[in-house]
Amino acid sequence: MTGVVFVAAGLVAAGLGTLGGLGGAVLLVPLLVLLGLAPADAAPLGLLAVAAGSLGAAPSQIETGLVNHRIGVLTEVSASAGAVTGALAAGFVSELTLTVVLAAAAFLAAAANTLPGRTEHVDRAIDYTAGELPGQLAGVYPDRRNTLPYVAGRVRPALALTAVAGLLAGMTGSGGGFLKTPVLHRIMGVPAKVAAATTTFTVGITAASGLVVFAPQGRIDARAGAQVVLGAILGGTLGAALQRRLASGLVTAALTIALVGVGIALLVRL
Amino acid sequence: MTWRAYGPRGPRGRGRRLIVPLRVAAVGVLAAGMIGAVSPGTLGRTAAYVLIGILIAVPVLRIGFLGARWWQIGDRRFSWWAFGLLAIIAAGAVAALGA
Repeated sequence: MTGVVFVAAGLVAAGLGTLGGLGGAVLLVPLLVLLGLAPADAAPLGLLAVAAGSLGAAPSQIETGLVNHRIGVLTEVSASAGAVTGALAAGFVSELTLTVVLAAAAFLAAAANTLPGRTEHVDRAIDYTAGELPGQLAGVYPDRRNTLPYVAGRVRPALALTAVAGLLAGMTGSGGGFLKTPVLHRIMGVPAKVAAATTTFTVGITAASGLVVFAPQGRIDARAGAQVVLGAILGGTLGAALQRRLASGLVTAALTIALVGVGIALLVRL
Repeated sequence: MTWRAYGPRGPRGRGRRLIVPLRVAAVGVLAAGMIGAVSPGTLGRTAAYVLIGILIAVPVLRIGFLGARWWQIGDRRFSWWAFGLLAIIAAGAVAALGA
């Protein structure tokens, strides 16, 4: 597979992922597999793209006070344990199993993408600067002209589900964000903006957890990784620029169809 | 769960000290990505390895910074969670070497 193909795959996946708010790796890795790469070789490339996206978004998200590092670190303990386990297991399971798991991840992401938005209970606005609060899973986030408080709950079920997200991430090379964001928002009750920003923080850690397994085992094609990351950065930038111009419903529908199509194509290919 | 207020204006954390180092790392990744993607031979390969190194190191260092910062302000519980997370990542690397 030539370098141009890797750059193009990274660009398309990250562009669509950014447009749809779902992250690009869950589309990138199946795309690379469909183009002829083995799932075990595509997974590290997906994690590199995820890590690059997380790093790129981090400064602006911290500046706006949206990232809750305490919630992220707590949920990431289980997610990283899952990612390490998944990355180790990926070296021992068959290509058939990895492809099926990858298709399942694509379908799960499509399903998560169709969940309707949750109306958030708006507490009384408070005169606080946005950010997280020490010693608790809580914080204050900016919402239009107000700052609003939030508290995260239901930690145990969230930890169980983020472990599953991490396991999928380690095995398939996706970031797991398509599971983590709904877990933070719908299970823990974190506002959507904070959930998305905190997930962007945590998927970078999940990706690093998987990469520290792949790297010593020599399973990362460094050159292909650089090409995919370059494409992903360009695609993410393009996707963010287009996001403002396109109707969100249309983008969500297109991304859902793409994920289902990719999942079916993977299963047909078996 | 209840939300324990700290009074107007704080304390609240944002990790603002992370912003500049993260921006520098992001620029480094972009530069290494461009060089690694297009340059032939040793230069391209080295740039690609540097890119991978940055993408692994930055989240790990970020957690380490947060753990140390939380310890410093007396938030020991979350500091231990951060150090525990680092231990999990380290265990993964060790397990990978042994596998």
